[in-house]
Amino acid sequence: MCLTSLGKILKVEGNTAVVQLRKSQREVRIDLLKVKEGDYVYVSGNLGIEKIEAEEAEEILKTREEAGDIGGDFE
Amino acid sequence: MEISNRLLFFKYALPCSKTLEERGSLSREKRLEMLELVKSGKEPQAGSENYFKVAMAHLDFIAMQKKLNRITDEVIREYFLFGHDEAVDERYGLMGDFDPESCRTYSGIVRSANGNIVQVYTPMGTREFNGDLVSGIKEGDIVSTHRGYVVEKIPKEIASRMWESKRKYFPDMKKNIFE
Repeated sequence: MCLTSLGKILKVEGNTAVVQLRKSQREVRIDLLKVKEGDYVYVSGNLGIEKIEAEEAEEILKTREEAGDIGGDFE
Repeated sequence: MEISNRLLFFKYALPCSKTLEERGSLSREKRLEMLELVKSGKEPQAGSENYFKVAMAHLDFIAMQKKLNRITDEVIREYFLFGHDEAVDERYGLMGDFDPESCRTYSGIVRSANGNIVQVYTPMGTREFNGDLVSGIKEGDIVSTHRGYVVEKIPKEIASRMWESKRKYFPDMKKNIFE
């Protein structure tokens, strides 16, 4: 049940990024990703898992907001 | 990153795969196909590990931190036996919409094995698990479990570390049976 959270990168510093999740900000490692400020990423714990396109991310976040969900959708 | 022992990876990952099916990211046919292969000691086809995106990312990261160029058995065990709970706890803390107990991995000692029905004493107490993923399991074996399945026999030292790591979930848990 290792679900993820989806968020937007606010700041990148080396291998670390600050990600804005729905209700909080989290510092995550981004060693596995090529990302920049403004990108959307899935996060598991303190690890960035996958970058997704902004349009898709915003659609997912909107859907979740409407559903009252803040989790992720893959294992 | 390449996995040294893909069979071991799938033994740990597949017990969670029903969740992927429920979310539509893995078909029932593919899930059952992988499960049947692993039960018979065969590896699922190349690339099947990519269904488990989060697990693979964590394994890649652990291997990278250890400066390894492949995912070793040690890396697989480090994530599933000692890192997986964090993801479970994170989700439960956010949503509280599932039973976190069943999602965690546990160490335990086999009390009885009858066909594929295995009774294992774990920090949760004695529970029934499916023994299809391991062969030759018998009373007294020290094993790891994940979501209803016995995954593998593990060394006593690892079992002991796992047992202690669950104390935060079960404050009234009995003494470490592996010490």
